[in-house]
Amino acid sequence: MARYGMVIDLNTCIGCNACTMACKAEHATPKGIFWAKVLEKEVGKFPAARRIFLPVLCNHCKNPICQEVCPTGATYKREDGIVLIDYDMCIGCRSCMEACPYGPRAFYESDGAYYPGERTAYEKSQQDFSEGVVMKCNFCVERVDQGLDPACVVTCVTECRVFGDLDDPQSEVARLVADKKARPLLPEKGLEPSVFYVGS
Amino acid sequence: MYGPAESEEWIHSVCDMCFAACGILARKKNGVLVKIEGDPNCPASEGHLCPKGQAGLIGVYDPSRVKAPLIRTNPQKGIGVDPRWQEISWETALEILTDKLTKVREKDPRGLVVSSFDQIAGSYFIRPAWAPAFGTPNSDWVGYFCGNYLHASMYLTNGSFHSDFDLDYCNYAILLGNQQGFMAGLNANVTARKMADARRRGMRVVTVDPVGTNAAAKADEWVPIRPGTDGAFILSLINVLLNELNCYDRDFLSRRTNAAYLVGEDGGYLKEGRDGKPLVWDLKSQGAVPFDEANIDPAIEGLFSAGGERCQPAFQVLKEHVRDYAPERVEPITTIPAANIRRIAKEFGAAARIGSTIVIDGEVLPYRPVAVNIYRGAGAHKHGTHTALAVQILNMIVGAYYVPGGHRGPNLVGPAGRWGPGATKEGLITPPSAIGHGARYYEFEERSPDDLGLHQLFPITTNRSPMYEINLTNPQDFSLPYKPELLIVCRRNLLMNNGNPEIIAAALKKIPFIVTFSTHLDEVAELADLVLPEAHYLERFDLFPNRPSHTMSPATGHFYWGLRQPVVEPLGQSRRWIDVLFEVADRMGFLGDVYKLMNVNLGLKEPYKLDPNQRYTMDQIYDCWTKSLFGPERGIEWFKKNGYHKVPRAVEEKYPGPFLKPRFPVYFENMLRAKKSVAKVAAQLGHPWDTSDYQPVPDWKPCPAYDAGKSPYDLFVVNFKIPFHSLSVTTQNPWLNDLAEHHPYAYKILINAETGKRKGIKDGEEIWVESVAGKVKGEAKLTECIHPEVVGIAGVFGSWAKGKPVARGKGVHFNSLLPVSLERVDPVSTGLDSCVRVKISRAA
Amino acid sequence: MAARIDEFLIGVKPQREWGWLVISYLFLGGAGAGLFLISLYMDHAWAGLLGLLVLVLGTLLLLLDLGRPERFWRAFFRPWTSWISRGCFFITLMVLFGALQIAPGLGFLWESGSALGSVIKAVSVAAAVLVMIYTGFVLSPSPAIPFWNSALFPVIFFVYSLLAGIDILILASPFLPGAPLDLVSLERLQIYLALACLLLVLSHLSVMSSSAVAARESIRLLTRGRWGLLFLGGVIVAGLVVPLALSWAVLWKSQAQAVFAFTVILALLRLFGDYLFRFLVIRVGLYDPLL
Repeated sequence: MARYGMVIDLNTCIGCNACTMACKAEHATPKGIFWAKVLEKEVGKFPAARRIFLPVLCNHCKNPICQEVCPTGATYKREDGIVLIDYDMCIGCRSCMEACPYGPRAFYESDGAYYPGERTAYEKSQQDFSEGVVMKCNFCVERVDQGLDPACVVTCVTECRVFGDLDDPQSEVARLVADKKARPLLPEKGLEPSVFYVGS
Repeated sequence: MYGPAESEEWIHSVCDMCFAACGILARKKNGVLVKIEGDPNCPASEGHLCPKGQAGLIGVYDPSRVKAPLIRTNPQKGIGVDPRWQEISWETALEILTDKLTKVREKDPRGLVVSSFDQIAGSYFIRPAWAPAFGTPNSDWVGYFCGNYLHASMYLTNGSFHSDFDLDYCNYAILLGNQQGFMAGLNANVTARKMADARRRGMRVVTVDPVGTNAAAKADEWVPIRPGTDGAFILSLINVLLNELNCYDRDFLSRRTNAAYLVGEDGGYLKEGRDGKPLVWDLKSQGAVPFDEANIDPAIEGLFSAGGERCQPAFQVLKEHVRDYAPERVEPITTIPAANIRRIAKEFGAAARIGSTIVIDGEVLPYRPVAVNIYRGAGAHKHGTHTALAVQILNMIVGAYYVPGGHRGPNLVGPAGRWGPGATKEGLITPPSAIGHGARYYEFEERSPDDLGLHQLFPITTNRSPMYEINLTNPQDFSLPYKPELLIVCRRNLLMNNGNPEIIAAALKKIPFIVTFSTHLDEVAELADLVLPEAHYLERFDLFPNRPSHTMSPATGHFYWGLRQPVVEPLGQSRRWIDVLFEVADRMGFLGDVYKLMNVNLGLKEPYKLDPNQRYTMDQIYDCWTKSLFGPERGIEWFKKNGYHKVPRAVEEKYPGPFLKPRFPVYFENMLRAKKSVAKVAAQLGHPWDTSDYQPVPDWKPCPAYDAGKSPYDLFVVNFKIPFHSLSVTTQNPWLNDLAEHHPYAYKILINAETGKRKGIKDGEEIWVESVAGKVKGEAKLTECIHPEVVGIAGVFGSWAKGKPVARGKGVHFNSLLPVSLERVDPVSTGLDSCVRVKISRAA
Repeated sequence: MAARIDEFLIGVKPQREWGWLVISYLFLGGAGAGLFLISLYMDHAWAGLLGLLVLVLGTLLLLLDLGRPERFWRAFFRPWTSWISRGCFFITLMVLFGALQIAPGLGFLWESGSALGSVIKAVSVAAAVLVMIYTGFVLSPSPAIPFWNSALFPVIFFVYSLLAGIDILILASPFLPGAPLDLVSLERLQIYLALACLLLVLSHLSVMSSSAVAARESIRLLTRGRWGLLFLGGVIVAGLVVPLALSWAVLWKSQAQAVFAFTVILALLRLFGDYLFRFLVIRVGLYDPLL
């Protein structure tokens, strides 16, 4: 059984947010909600100052605290490591959001349409969730199940994202994790993310 | 509706969220457009798509779109004044438009002004065909900033429209006032990928910019610079290379440029006979000989005497001229430490590997893996032409021109020799007409101008758009023999993209009738008399959106042609404005003339030429065009099905430098002749005119803001680009707006943290930024990533039109701070000076 | 300096999902269960009823907070991993068994053997205690919010719940049917409980101040920053120190029963401080920066 993971090269990411928009387009996420995004931070003092870019998404942890705290079982982990939410089961208690240190989850409270009034035909077609639930990146599971890469990976203009099977030693993600000092965010939390970063 | 698709189709089309025109695949599920992805078969996208392209999808569903023709019923015009639109039928609208245009044409066809940044319609149909057939020269009221100085400087120095460099081999790149390769600038998609590969390979990037942009964030070195002083920096680099390090490519300079051309005391070439060829000093025969004589060894330095006249090679003039730009003198001008200037010059010179070669595709080519790339930030100032020419000289003196790793202009040579540059009789490069944009910078007309751009007063530029506004504001100044009577606008936000909106609004109110083709009731539609619903790009049918002049990127290694075809049905009664204008031409009886001109300009061949007595749908015209270029096998139906036709570039098409005869100018002798011509024209107009910028060698001259820095206007304000917005067209996109609202910088006013602290401004506070032209209010963002003397405002934000509810009130409008006057345009190129002094204060 | 939760900026960020409704549940749920517990100790069925009603009110607020309140029943399905799931059972048990427990005292006589009666009492006591402490177990293991990572949380919540329960009882005592209440001994109990709260809160701060970045920032906000006045002035001084000082001075020393109005003031101060404590704990929950 595969264990899906992703490696992101922070040296190469230019902070353009193509991934942010591709994800939104793929999943028709509601207003104000971003399953993938690029966080920024300034380091240094002028003139030796720069911004750093950190693309983030759900880490699909091997040891997901969100699944543990979910009272309904809406959050569950597939055998291939993808952590999913069954939007019909979620009651919107947000305890998962209070447990996950990475911040990929968002609560879709209400009124998420981008244009006032009714949802567009596109939103109606693509949204498999309703109001009142917590939502997050699903590693583009519908694409992965067809053998495609996630939307954020495909669109990235600098090709700084790789997706694949962490348990396959031949896969690029596995090799990067083994060779290039790829590390996850906040490893000390013990959640064992499947998303790794190289570079700085 | 969520669930598996009953029907699914992928349609090839082309994005239009910026000019790069990346190929896309639009996915429709059960007839609904649900995703846009990069077309893997398009060399520019290769399956990738930037944030703007991804966001284009939601724009199709925008309920604020103009859906029907509208006529103004309120005679009062003004910013924020309700036009009281009344909906009318297309037939009525066409009658009104035809009637008005007929009257204008009868009175004086030059009274028609067309303003559009629709690159496809403008460059293929309007400027070369429809407007001339109508009879007006006033069809290029386009941009005010980057293009003006840049394109002219490029046509003059590299024979092509734009500036680019070879990311496949470059090892050291200096980005001067631009973020090429970091999701801004030309062909951003493919250059971002190439830049990423180059950086992975170890290429070093130096960005010179007052703002710590996305490019500066990734660069190996960010050189913060005081705005408007880039020319001094570049001239200082040239000085160090020529006069301290003795580091320059003598071979390239003597054989491939006019460096060796002998120049007399008046600055003009020494010529054989009266109008003969320029002479050079042959070191072998120790005498002056024509430049193109065989087997000579031309000197590029030294002082000589020929025909009793004292002379020196043009390069000698340049070398002496740049001595004035010692790093110590340039440091207080630019705020760049002299030691850094020297170090960068040394690094640049060393990285250029002068004299080295590389084998590519079996050819031995000169290898100069360095480039300086200039764009808007550095050039859009008064005297910006000088800065651009200095940059080009810097590339030339190390021989990094159209060779592996170096500077290049896009598509100087066409596929399979279809086009190539020409040369003046002095042997200097002239652009091929395929990408030439009518640029002729060596012959000058000495007659009074009769176009709003005042062509003859500004011969060395590609567009004179700020002069349209200045002429409208003060028509008595240049006493044109007619008045503008009718303005047609499409995809050109004249209110937001010029200077302060009040100035342009006052100018526009003088035009009796304004027609806009609009997707939204935007800031310029607000001042229109007739608004016609324009198609959204996903509803449009545009052939060959990648233009050889600049949006067919050499970085792809291919020449490529695509088709933007409709993905969705037009909303409401939207129509493509070209179709409307063709119909009007038909009603007025000049469509046949339009076809004749199109036959020439589109290069249509028998049997596909358009018959002026027939009428064609756009589909048929495109079919003629594609078959003319690619034969009967590749008609429009082929393109609809397959998307892109591409051919790989041969080595001499990638690196034409060693294969070309025409030379590149390091000395601009034509400027002396232009100076005389312009002075004559100005005298004819009875207008005092400053021609001091027409010099054969560039200088740095301070722009108005440089000298004006006394209290209370003590800071500079500059504009810069962010990766997920482009011009004003993206501001109404709700996804991009959502992103911008969450972004830490996008909609804010950037202030240096130290400067902000000194002025008692806290992060997140509302502040005013005020110049002599206007004031704007926004949220302060204290940051380390900006020069202490500079305030930064990104993009074209701060929309106010009620017809753009998503964009309205978001961000800050930089252009409101810009004054527009003759004193503030670059005298050579008419580029509007885009930095100005401001003061900031707390808004509370 | 904490960033806005929704801004795309790396930094310490506040949690913003749990607000007034959750805070009010933490207060009312704990107080109700605490009140019920005290009622058993004092064998006062009407007090017990009040406790159950307060708990039910709190639970209703919690249900209102859900994104999909009509699906609340789904929350029972993961008691093996989720403390919230377990909490559903604790609340249910407490309400059911608590009702059975107090029924005889309210006049709903039903026959039960003393063995069954003991079981009912035992279960309702256990459920009440669990309701008071389980929310501490919801918060404390969170990898997201270092400020909540304390083994003391369940204890703090227990003591505060008891404190609040008794204060509600004191305020309700004039209106409560049934036997009159021994307010003096209740007040004495409050002195011990308030002291315990004070010590526990201060030790929590002390432990957190040498902990993760976000925890230290939470402490800073509570003591020197934005919430300093409300925390030190409201929770510590007004909510604990002043009532302690006053009740020690008046009651302990004089051994007399104070004027009722005075007792009410003390109860209101303590309740105010307790609610503020719950509010601030939730409000000042901060995520660690990702880099």
